[in-house]
Amino acid sequence: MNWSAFYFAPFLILPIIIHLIGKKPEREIKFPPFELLKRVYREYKWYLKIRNLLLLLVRMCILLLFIISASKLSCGLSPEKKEGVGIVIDSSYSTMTFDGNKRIFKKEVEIAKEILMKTKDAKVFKCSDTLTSLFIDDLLNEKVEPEFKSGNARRCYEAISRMGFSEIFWITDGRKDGYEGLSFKEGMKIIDASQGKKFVNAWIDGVEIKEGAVAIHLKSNGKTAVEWEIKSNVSNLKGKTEFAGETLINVLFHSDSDWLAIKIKGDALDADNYYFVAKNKTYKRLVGIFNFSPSEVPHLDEAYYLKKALATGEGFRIKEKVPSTMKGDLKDEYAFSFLLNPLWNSYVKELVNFFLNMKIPIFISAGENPGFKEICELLGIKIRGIKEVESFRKLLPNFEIPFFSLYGEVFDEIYVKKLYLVEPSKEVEPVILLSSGEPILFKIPAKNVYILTTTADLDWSQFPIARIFTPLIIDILLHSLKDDVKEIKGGFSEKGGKTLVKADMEFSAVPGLYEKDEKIIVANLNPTEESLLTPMSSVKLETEASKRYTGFQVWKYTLLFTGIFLLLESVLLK
Amino acid sequence: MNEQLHLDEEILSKAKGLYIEARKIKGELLTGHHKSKIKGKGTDFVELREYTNGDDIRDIDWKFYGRSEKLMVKVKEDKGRIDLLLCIDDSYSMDFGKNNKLEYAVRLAGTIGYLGVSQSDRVILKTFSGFPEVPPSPSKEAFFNFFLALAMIKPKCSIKPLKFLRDVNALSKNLKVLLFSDMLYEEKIALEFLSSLEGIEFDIIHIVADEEREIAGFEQAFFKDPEGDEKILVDPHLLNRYYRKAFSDWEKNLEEAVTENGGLYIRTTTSIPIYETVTNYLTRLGTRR
Repeated sequence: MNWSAFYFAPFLILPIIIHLIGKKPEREIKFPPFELLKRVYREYKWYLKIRNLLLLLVRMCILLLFIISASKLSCGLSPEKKEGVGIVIDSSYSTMTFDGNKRIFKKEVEIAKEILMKTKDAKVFKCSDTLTSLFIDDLLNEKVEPEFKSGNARRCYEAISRMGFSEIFWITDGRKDGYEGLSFKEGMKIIDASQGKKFVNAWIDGVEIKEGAVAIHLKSNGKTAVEWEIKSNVSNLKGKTEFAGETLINVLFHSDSDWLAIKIKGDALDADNYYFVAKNKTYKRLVGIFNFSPSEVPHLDEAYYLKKALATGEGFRIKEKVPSTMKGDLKDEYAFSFLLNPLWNSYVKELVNFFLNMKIPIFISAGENPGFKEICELLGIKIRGIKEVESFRKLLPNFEIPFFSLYGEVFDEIYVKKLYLVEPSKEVEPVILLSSGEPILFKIPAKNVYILTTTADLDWSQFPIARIFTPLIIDILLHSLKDDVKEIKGGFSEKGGKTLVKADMEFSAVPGLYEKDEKIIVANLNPTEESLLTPMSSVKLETEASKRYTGFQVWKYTLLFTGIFLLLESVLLK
Repeated sequence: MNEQLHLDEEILSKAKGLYIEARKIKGELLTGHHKSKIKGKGTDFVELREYTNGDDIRDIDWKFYGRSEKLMVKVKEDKGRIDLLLCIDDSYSMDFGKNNKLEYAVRLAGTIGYLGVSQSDRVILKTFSGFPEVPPSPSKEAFFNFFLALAMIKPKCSIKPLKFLRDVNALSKNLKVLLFSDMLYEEKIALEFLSSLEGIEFDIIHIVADEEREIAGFEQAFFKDPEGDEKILVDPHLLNRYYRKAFSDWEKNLEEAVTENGGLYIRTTTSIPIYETVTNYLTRLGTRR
């Protein structure tokens, strides 16, 4: 819809002004049959007034209809489907939690089956990050599972409300947070599968490093079980614990390790908890976050995830700076620097040169600001162009990840607006490739620089990026802080990961990570369909990306009515 | 000729023009087509009437003068001659139209008057306003005074036709009245006027300007009463259809009223050539007779 067309709305009163003020003629005609004319005038005066009023209304309607036509207004409801029942099953990560001995998700499926028994004309969807149609047979045979994806109720609701169902059953686990701010329309029935029960959650409250041991303080709001994992530059430990309220896990750990990365996950947890710790208190170095994004909502950009990854831990000081105040700070001993959506001025230039000269690793993310292109130019990287991207899911059923899969998880969808297309060169080493062959993250090893060629957009649709961004940043940090990067890589590289499967086939219907041709790893993200393990053709990518919902095109009908009203006006003028 | 007449070059020229046109039209008409019902002097004595300026002094009844010291003329009747009273409506309403109605009436009266005089009728010219006062035409030679008087006619304000009737009744009984008017009076006055003409032989040449029948040619404007201050804002495009019908109805009603009162009704428009109107009139006159 083109809202700028409504700038013409004030013109609606133009016919009224003309009607009320209307230039009165100054001319007088001495007319001998005046009495006769006066008689006719009196007889038809009201008729003419009504006709003028009608003419005014018709003219206003013409203007209004024209404005609506120019705005290309489309109604949200699809004209094809006006009835039927939609069933939405919340399949987000949190539905993996248990209620008694049964997963919430299973309970949701049972409710959906009950509805299906009573309703013939029903379509079923699962709702995690996006709304996905389900095969009823898969649902009945319990082939459908919850996903490692954050719930995005708003996006799913917007999608299903456009489908024009007369009735929608929304079966969820009862966690209300994801539905905040959503006002459901009539015909929507929310079914709480947990029947109002309070969910148990757990989190890392603190970490203490002692000689040869690590103490992890865990807290929860009820009885729960978690899996924990401690990684360092020399070792990797895993375990499970069950507790209620509070617990302390003491783990013997290799005393030579300089740092630790701690993670917990569990059935009760909404999302995984990360904790990053430098074991040695003297090993205190500075991580600089230079965030140039204009966002006034800090948790909606990458800086939030950086802080989430680093600030809760110990051993790092975070220095968040804006360019105007950072002069004189360059003597600080930085361990790592982040330049998010950088500007380009003398300070930034000085900063970049300083980091490059000191061989301090730099992470640069692209954005709307001009600094990204300028820094790339400084680093000798050519930008071929910028691609507007609506959704990477449509573009990329498969990620190619030659480097990172630290926790062996399926990566979530990444939503971005722009992707900078980089000219391949010998100095550039891709870290994450898109299946189209474009690097989304690449490294310049000689200069110790990481470049993210895209940026998260500024609404909640970027939320899933947290799950890839946080471990990604930790990985980059771990790899860059010390010279013994190779050793770390040896301990946590994807090649040792359990989920890695040699892929000889061209298609796979099982979600997971696959290795092809030794280095390339493909993630199949859609468990309901077979996914290509080869890159899509560029033509298909283009078609998929350009598909948009258009809805019922009201403007075409208003254009027709504009014509009819113009005809009516000419009839009235006669 | 009245001394009020101011004979300047313009009037003289106009009078000549009217005379030439009258002669031309007469030449074009068939000779003998029109025969007068009454015209001029007769031999049979009918009555005495008061002497008026222009009367032949040979008609004065000197005996009666000896008895009463009043100058009276003997009115004699010749059944082949009549007194033709050409009466022109010179009210403001006649001063309208691209082809001016009053101008048209003057030209028409000039032509018909000339025809009358040519056949030895006595032609009398009167206007509703009474100006200029003209004596009946005594002879063909003095008839140019008639054209001079016609040339001097100008529109006058707020004239009531009923006043004019009083003067008409004082004239000879062998009178034929030929009225040139647009008849734009209030309905009541018009009907009263027509019924007052009962007993008098009268013809009405109803003169209409083209712009009066169709108002679509005008832009939106204030239409004003030419003989008053009242005005109304009219969009002629919107009202024309209804006005045209009302005007047509009014014309029909007028014709009926004239006919009912024994008159001959001739409708003409200022765009119609004088020759055609005269021919039409004479034809209708012959048919009627």
